[in-house]
Amino acid sequence: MTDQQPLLEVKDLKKYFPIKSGVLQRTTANVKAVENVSLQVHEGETLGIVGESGCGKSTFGRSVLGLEDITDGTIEFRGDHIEGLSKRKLKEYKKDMQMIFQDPFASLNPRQRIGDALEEVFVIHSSLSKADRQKRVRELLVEVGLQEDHYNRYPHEFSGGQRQRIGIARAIALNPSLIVCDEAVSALDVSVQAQIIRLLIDLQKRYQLTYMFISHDLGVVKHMCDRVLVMYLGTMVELGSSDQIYKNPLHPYTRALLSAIPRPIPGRKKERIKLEGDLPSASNYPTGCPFHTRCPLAQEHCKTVVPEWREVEEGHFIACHEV
Amino acid sequence: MGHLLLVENLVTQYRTAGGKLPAVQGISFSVNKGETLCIVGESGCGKSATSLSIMGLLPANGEITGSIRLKGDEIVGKSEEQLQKIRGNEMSMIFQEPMTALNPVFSIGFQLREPLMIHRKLSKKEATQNSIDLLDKVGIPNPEEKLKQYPHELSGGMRQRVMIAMALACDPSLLIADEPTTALDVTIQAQIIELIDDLKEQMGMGVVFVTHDMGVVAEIADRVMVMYGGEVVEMGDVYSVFNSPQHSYTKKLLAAVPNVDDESKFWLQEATTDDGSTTSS
Repeated sequence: MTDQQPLLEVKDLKKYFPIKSGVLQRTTANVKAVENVSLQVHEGETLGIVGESGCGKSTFGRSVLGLEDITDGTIEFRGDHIEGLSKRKLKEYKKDMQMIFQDPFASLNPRQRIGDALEEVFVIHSSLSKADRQKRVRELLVEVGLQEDHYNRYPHEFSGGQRQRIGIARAIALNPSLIVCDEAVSALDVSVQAQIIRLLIDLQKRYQLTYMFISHDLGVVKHMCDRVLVMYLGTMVELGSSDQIYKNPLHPYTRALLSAIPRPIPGRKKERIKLEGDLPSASNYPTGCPFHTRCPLAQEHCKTVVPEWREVEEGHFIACHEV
Repeated sequence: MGHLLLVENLVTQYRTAGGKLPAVQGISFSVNKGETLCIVGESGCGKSATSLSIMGLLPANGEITGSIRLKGDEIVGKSEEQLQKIRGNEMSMIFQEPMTALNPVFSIGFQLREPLMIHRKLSKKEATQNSIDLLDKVGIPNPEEKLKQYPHELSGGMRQRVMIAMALACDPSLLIADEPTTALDVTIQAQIIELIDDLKEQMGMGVVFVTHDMGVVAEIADRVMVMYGGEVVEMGDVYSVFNSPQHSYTKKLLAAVPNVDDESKFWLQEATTDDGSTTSS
């Protein structure tokens, strides 16, 4: 898998949001949303990115697609550097990289028919005639499990699952190679969730899609992803194949996260690793290992020395002094 | 034997321009002292309408028939004034999003003192001392400091703890928790579930816990009530519902839970083909 050129290669990506204060609105501090994330995504794979709210997983996904101006680092898509490109130049790449959001209703105009909303994609990115565009939209609707005559309906006439199908139709309209799914199934009921995931997997097989699947739901990620990256407070904590992460989690944070998931087995009295307290604020970033404030294994040096990102077995990386 | 809460033939309807919309269609259940009943189901199944009905917090177009008795006392048909004496005192409720339930322009201390001064007629000084004890009880560090803070200064987990402290202010005998952990991260969710469970033990409350997450149900419930389309489709103790579900909907619901410990991907194949829209809309 590693022989060929990766579809996406990110190196040392940083994204800081400045905090401005005082009369002169000088930057007095930074919220470190993403801190030194480097990874490769290969053609046809599904990379899961998990972590709690505020861990920078969404900002990372948005940065990769050029929706956020990054602070530092490089992003290569098929070997081309795409960081810092102008909007016009980036437009070419955007056809190839799409995003599915958590709440598709928020990204649909309530007064625009679904057909028209989907057609807009082709108006902007293609030179198809009106008749061809409409034909293509009808095909897309069928492709994602809706009906052709849904073309003339408005967003409020659809259920949550159907709306997410519309979001997916819009994302696949231009035959992209990379789709970033940002909490794409989190707002759905479990039975609908499973259908949408099946649709995503079908489409991946049919079009050799590559997914970056951002989610806080470790259960869904497990069944969906080939490799999983665990993030904490903007940094990479552990990366490995789905099997490595779920069967042999090494980092204390990954272990705590996995043990905190409620299992549908009553009476299973919790052999749980409890994490005390809350996530520290990203504007007041801990020194050393970002996890040391809550870590059950933390030692003196964890408070001062940033742990190295190291490979513990093939394809399995962690950042921890103590494991 | 006296149930803490006894609901019989509860029907909750919403009056709309298009006629009456039934949200809850004739359900009956009970909750005992020191017991946690989980109401579980998907969006639109009537689980929240049920909890709002018990609290008497339905919107103006909501209508209840049937009987809801708390310690033998009939709640249906009580005036707003009478309900206010019960709410926060005998029973209280915590919600999914504590930020919307907390007032952003008043300090935590002000909001915590309020129920104590109204229901228990404490002086401001006594109420402040009581608030500190309450925050301490729900595991908030430096409670004196926190009293001066405003809701936006707290994290989601801390806000939910404040809400729980507020709900427990007057030692209610019934706590209704409507998806209290849904908006929280799993590590925080685990803390809050444990907190609610501990407090229930300590104070001997009855708890009605509304959730859509079967994993959470397994962790906290003594008994489970599964709802679909405003009706109860299955009710039983937590072991029998999970180990031998009788109704096909319960089976489907359990099968749809993505289990991290499970090797097979059967839940992806098993899933239903319709778009899962429940009947109530």
